[in-house]
Order: sequence, then C-alpha cells, then structure tokens
Amino acid sequence: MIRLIHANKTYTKGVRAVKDLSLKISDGEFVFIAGRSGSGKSTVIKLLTGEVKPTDGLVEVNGTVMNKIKRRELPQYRRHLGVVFQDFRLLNDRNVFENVAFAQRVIGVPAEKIKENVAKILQLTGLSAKYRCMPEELSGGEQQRVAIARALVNRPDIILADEPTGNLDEKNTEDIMRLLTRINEMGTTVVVITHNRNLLTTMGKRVIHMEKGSIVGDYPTGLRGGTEL
Amino acid sequence: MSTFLYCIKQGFKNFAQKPLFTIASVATASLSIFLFCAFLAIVTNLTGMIHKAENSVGITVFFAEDAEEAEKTTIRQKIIDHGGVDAVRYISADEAWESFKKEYFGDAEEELSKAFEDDNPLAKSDSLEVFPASVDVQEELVAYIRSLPGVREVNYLSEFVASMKKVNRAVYVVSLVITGVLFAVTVFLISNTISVAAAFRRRENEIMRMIGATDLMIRAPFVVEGTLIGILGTVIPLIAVRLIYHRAETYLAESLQASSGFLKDIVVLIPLSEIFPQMALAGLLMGVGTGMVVSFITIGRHLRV
Repeated sequence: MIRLIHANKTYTKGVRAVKDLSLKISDGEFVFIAGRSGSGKSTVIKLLTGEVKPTDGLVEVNGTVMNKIKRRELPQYRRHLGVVFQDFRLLNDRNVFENVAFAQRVIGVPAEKIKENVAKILQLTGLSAKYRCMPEELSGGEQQRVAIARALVNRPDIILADEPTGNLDEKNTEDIMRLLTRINEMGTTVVVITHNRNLLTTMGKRVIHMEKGSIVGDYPTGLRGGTEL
Repeated sequence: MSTFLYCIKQGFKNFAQKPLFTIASVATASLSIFLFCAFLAIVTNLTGMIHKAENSVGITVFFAEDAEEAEKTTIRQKIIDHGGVDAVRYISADEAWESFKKEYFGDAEEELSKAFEDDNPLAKSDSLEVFPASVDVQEELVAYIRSLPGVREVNYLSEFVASMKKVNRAVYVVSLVITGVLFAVTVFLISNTISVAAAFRRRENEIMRMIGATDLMIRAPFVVEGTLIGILGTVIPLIAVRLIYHRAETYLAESLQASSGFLKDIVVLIPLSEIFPQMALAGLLMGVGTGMVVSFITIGRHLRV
C-alpha cells in the first residue's frame, strides 16, 4: 500500500513541489496521476522511489517509511519497485535480452535463472522474437515494452511509470496500456503519470488530478468527458 | 554470469572504452612508479655503500718517525683500553708496501719490486688500523688518538662519508619531490579517467540505482578499471627497472673488477634478488593502491541517490 499523509516537498531553492498531499493507493490498484507540467506529479514518483525525501508529512510504501529510509537501505527497497520512464532509458550497446537481463544481473540472480526469467518476461511483453535486436532497431513502442520488461523482471510489487506513452503514437500507446493493464491484473500495483487526456477518460481507472503540488480531484473510475485538467 | 564477474567484465570494458585516457593514466603511473623504484634503488644502495664504507674502512694511525717500538705498543694498548674499539691491527712497513704495490701498480708490480728491492719507500709508514665498534664513536675516537703522544697522523674517511651522505640526502629529497609531483599527476589523471568513465556510464548507473544496485556494485567496475591502470602502471616500470638494474649490476661489477682499492669493496650494488622483492612490493602498493583508492573515491563523488 502507498500512503502519503500531509506530505510536503520543498526543494532547496525554495520551490514547493508538493503541498500537504494526502493520498492512499491500495495493493493491486491501477492509478493515473494527471496534471500539467509543474503540478508535482514527478515529485510524487521521486518521493516513492526515494530519490527525494519529503520535507515533512509521511510517505509510506509497503510499510517502508520513506522519511526515515537510510541510503544503504534504498537498493533493497528499490528491488520491490519497477520504474518506467518516458525516454525508455535503455542501454543502447546491449540487445533486448541483455537490457532485460541487466536488471537481474545487478541484483545477483544466477545466470541460469536469468535466462529463464527473461524468456518469460519477453513472452509476456511480446518481445520473444526480438530478443537479439538492438534498441535502435526497435520502434518506440517496442523500446518502451523492453523498458517495461526490465521493470517487471524482478517481480516488483509496484510499477511506477512516468509518462510511459509520452513519446509514442496512438497505436503504441494502446499497446503499452494494454500491457500495463495485464500486469495490473496479475496483482501488481501500477501508478502511471500522464497528461494524455484520452487515457484518463477511456481506461476507466482511478485518476488523481494534481495542480500546483496539491490534489484537486480524485476520480475512482476515470475522468469524465467534461472535466478540465 | 555472477554479479562479481559482471562487475569485472564492465571494469575491463571501461578500461578499453577510452584508450587515450587510459594510455595517459597508465603512462603517468608507469613513469611515477619507475622513478619511485629508481630512486628507491639509488637511495637504498647509497645508504648501503655509506654503511659499508663506515664499517669496513677503519682509522689509520701513523706513528711519529722517531717513535720506539715500546711507544707504539703503548699507543696500541691505550687505544684498546679507551673502549669503543672492535679491533686494532698492526700493519708493518713491509705489509704497507705490499698492499700499496698491489693497489696502485697491479700488473707492473713485479718490475716495481725489482726497482725497490732493498729499499722500502714506506719504511716509516708502519701503522695501526683501528676498527671502531660503531660509526657513532668514530669522531670521538679519532680525537682521542690524535691527542696521544707519538701519533703523527690519523686518517679516516670522514669527508668521503660526509660527502656520500650529502649526496644521499640530496637524492632522497629530489626523489621525494619528483615522485610526489608525479604521484599527484597520476592521482589527477586516474581520477580524470574515472570521471570520464562515469560520464560514459551515467545512464547505466542511473538505471542500476533505480533497479536496486548497491553503491558497491555501481562502484565495482570503476574500481576494477582503476586497479587495472594501477597494475599496468606498476608492472611495466617494474619490468623496466629490473632490466636496467640487472644491466647496471653487471656493468659495475665488470668496471670495478679491473680497478682495485676500497671502492671495489664498497661500490657494490645490492643483489637484484634482494632488492627487487622490496621494490616490487613498494611499487605494487603504491601503483595498485593508488588506482584502487583514487577510483573508489572519485566514483563516490559521482554517485547520487
């Protein structure tokens, strides 16, 4: 479960990115966090990954209080998260298999187990046939699927996706959302940051609307047609 | 592939990724270690030679020309009784002449012997050779012997030893300064190389952090790279120093074989088999240690949570 209670984040230059934010995301939920640029969406993700600490208030993820987490505890904590970025962040000198396997190598999974796990994830993400391809040989949608496969391979409890469809066309956006929905149906909590209005209205998933660091709306079954963002 | 092997492999990859930076680092480290070893060899050998000179060459005491045998015996006894003396040896005029002939005329000794058959030019040069128990008492002992009646002249190697000590000190200071400067350049270049490697791997490091890699895991490839620079930067100069030292050893032995005198006994290099292990250990500690520590610290500055 993700819990933020009266959480605030002020950066050193005095910018208040998150103001008095209270939010609860249950296990197995699929949630969109939407809002304009500068609304504090990405800071929420950073608070959840431990990249930044809240200035005050409480941020808790699956029982880990992020306010108190120590630097040396972060790696272990992050192994229960899968993070997906808008720009994919793939290693361009490695093929699809190696990009996904990389996530397992750094946490010390044995080679045989890596082969098995990566093969399963590539099948789930529809990339089995492309395991030898280099990132540059893939479309944007395929690259994002590789990034999702990498985020998934360590079986995280939560997937945090920061604008995962921001660089994709409509068709690829649909594919990625279908994949994330499938992952969510398998029991993983999915938090997606987006400002793609179409997704917010058609997916029927919970939407948390942020403005200037605060929540201005929480729509359990998605945004209605007329609601402004 | 285990995480450990993965880190090693990435370290080698880093190493090969930017050849110019790597070559510059290895070359500077090599030069630094080479000079360090060379100076170490020079200082160690000079110290050894000074020690040998101080201990093996005694104080020569010449008697007054009119000194009687009884007086010479008294002088000898007084020196022994004074203390701080290891041994006192009487060298007769004949012995002195024999030794002089061998030392200075070598092959021409026989002809010379004929020329001076019944006339020893060193007839009045019988002497005592006094070996001090320690170098520290030498000055005081010389002063005491000089004060004894019946003593014409006292010779010892004070000036020679003092000059050698001065040279040794100068070499020591110069070597310290040059090695220090080169060491600083080496640290800078290794640090720079690791910073470049960190820039190359920035994206990979970010992903590693997000996936849950520990700092140690992120640092490892860079430390491997720094260690490789250190190993190469040490092994290359050690091979060079070994070859050069061996040549110098042979050259000195050959050159001094023909000569005679005390230099032959004193100017002897410490055997390579004796000095090289120390040199290699010091070089490896300096080179590999620097590579490891500098890379570890440098990459620490690039790590961000």
